[in-house]
Amino acid sequence: MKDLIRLDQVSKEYRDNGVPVLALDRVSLAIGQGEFAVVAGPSGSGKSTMLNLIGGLDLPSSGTVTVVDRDTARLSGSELSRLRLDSIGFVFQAYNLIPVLTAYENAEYVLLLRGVPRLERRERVLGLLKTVGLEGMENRFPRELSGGQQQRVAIARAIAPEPRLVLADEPTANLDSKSSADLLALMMRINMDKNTTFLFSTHDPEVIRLARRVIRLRDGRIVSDGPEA
Amino acid sequence: MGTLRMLVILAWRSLWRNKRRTLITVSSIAFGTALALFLISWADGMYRKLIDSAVRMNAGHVTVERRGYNLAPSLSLYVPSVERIRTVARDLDGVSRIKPLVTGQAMVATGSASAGVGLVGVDPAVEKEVSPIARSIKAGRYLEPGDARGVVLGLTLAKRLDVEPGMKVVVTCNDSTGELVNEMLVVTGIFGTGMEEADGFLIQVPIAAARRIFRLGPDAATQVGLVLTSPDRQGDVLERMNASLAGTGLVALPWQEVLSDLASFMSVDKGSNYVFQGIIIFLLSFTILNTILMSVLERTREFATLLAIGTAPILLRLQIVMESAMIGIIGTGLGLAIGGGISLYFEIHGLDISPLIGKNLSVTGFTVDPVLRNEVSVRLLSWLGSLVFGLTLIVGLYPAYRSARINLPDALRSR
Amino acid sequence: MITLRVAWRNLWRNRGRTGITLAAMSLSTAVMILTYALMLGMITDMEKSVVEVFTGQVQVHNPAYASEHSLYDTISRPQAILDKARSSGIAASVRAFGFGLVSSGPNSAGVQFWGVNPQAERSFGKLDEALLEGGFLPDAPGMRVVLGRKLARTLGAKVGTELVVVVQAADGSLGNDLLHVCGILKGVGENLDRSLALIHEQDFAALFVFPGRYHEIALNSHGRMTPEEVASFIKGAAGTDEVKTWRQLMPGVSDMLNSFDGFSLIFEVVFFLIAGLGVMNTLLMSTYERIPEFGLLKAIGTTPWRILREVSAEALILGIFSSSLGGVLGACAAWYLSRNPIDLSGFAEGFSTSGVMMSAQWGAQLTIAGIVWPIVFMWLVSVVAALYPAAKAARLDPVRALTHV
Repeated sequence: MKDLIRLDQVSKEYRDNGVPVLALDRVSLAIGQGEFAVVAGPSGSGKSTMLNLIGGLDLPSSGTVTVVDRDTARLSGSELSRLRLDSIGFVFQAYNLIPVLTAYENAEYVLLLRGVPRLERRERVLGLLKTVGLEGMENRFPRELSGGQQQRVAIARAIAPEPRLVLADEPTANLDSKSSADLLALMMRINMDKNTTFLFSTHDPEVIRLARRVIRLRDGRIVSDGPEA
Repeated sequence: MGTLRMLVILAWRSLWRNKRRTLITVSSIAFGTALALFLISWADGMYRKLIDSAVRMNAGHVTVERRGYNLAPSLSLYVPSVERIRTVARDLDGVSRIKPLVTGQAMVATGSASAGVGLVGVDPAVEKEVSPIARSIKAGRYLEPGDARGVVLGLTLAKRLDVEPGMKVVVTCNDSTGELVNEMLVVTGIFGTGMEEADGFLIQVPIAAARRIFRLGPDAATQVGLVLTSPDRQGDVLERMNASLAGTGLVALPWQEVLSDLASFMSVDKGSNYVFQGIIIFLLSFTILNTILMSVLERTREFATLLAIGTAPILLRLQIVMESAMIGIIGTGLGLAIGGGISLYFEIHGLDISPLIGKNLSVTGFTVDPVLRNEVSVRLLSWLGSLVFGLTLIVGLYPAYRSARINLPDALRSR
Repeated sequence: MITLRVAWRNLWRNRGRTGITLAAMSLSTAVMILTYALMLGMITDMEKSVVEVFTGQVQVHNPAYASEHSLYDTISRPQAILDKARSSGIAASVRAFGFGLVSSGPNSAGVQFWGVNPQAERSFGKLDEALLEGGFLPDAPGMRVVLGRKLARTLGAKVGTELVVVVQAADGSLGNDLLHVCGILKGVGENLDRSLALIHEQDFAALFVFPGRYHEIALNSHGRMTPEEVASFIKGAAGTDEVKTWRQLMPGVSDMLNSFDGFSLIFEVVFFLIAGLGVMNTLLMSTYERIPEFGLLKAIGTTPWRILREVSAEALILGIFSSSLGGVLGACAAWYLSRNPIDLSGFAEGFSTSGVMMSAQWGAQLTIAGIVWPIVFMWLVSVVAALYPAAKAARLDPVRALTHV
């Protein structure tokens, strides 16, 4: 199987108040289609940086990041946004729903961008919201939903265009343990059903326990990679 | 099409998500637009009034005279047949009154004093209908067509010459052949227009008397003024008159050439108004820029999310431009409605500014009526409206550009 | 001190907002200073154009002359007045007036002759510079004449034209002579444009058989004294003759200038209003947006008083920076426009309003008050606009404030 994601000797250095910080230090990694992998590590270990680089939200200082056979550093801004639109779904720690759009519209938005016809859009969004367990809440605005519900909308939005990869940066950090477990189960089911690759960062031991592959980071380096014992 | 609709929804709802900010912006635009509209229509109204009273007192919106008379007025340059002009002008659309004038320079003397004056022969019947002078008689009466030796003069001049109605004055001047002539006239009335220039310098006699004094033909005049129904007809009337005057040695001139002082005053006054309105609009666009920019800077997380999930930067920028456009349309529309309403009210009822400027403000010899009427026109509304709206759009470009230039990882986390 | 430091840090923390507010305040201050200077410039220019050209700050006449305009009502002791003026360096011009009829070919006009001393007139006013064509009167007599603009047009006269003059002389005889046009004035006022003929005082004396008698002495201290001061200074030497300031002599013009003052006051209020509203908007918005932040401060135990103090400190710092920036910017712009007046029209000729010669050049005039007032006003606006929402936030309970949109 061909790798969906490849990191070759990737380093990322940024400046924090003028002090250079090495967030990732010559990291190499490959993730295949259909994997359900977790990036774990204490805060500041480089988890978010790694996800940002893979998602094309940021570019590496050195080394190459290849996502869906594309070297992110060689893509223009609009090519990057096209890549994200076509192949990558995002789930954020703080949900990041568009506050002025309803649950339905939030999920529909990406389909609109991809030019999916109206009827198909409707069918898919309703199906998705049902999948994530939000039937009947289509017309609620984000502020009218609980944190767990908002994150479900975010997942619906992320998987709506059927991307090959979903990147989730600490998706359960703001949720209680019940909501976290539900959400995780939901993501695993989608992973099974659609063969969507999931890569997310977390430091929640419950989440780590469930993952089939755990990439442990410390101070910007991979300290272990594989199924947890 | 769906994407566009979504952008409109996004823009519109984002606007009302922070109602206070949007209302503040909209009301700033509305206030500035209304103010500019009021000031401009006010000035336009004043100009119209000024022009109106000036052309009525003088030689009309369009003046027919001998070529060269305007630059060097001389009695030898006269219009031989008023009747000929009358037959042409009478049939023209937009000509309301035809006033023949015989104008010359003279010295007026009484037993005690003398003064240089402008002597104007007028048709009393026409003047009574058009001229502000006929309407501002302070003592005695205005001229009647039958007054062979009647003369009316202004308050200032009457005071200087120490005359009252019924008293005699002697007019001395050169006639059209260059001969020095003397003529005795009787003061029938004294007018007070409040215009220093008219009250201290002008005397009017019936046109027949003026022709006799200056030894001109019974149908001659130095100028034939055409008073129009509306200043907008001027170009049209000028063109037609000049067409029919071709080859006669006569020309039709616009009042702007005949009363060049008044025209240059207006252009300078308009210039200074433009400077002030420019400053108002500059401040206005700066306020618009501030509020839109501030709103953009506040919403980086939202924008970062939109970009992260695959929105092309151009679409995000388009959304911001739409927001500016919506604010602009609402603000401009509101401003035009409010400013237009207030101006229209004063156009109908008049605004008395005499407590502010005193009774008499005169401009190049023409009094400004202290009761001002605004003049609102569709043209004014449309150009001002498109100016402010266009400005909002232009000003919104920078925030739109800024909106997509953000550091995604940082912005996604920010609160 | 701590408050100031915290405020300073806060301002830096949100650079975008601080930048916008700073820009809004300093730009508005600058614009206010500029408009103030432009208004003042317009009024001062008008007053100058009344006083500086030929009228002077103060004029002396025989009291009978004003009502009679008679040739015989002359100033009784001109030399005493001139000596007194000279003693304190006040410029003076002595003039004699008389009426006459002038003709050129078939054209004729009644004119007012001014017999002047060209040299004195030059140092007194700007009549010698206000020429449309030709030159001013030469210092020596020679039957030359400078005509008003419209008078020249009426007569069809150009530089070099020969004019026939008929006047009634002081001895009752009919004076008759020839004059040569040596210059034509620009617009200096409606009345003079139509009737003024300037001739040398010695030519005047010969024409009217009236040597050594004058009707008017115009005085100008060129800004060193006010018109009222000049008037009271001269009064002693004038004896029975009337000493009046230009405002007393030309109530119409004075009224007009006052009404322009009124107009410009309205404009100024409007500008302050717009500028003030703009800044108020910006500040209100930026403070309102921080209400959740204040809620947080309150939640961690900050007293309302402290929040207010912090916001005031921020407003103070912003005020100081923006007024310095705006003050410098506005003063520079105003200074530039005082050196390089705005040209309001393509008309090269001046024109007159209510007898006042105006120019199409509009310069600014910068004064200390014109800088200080806008700044003080801006401070007031910023304090009110920042404190009002802050006070509101300080009173709000923390939970409500935190979720305040």
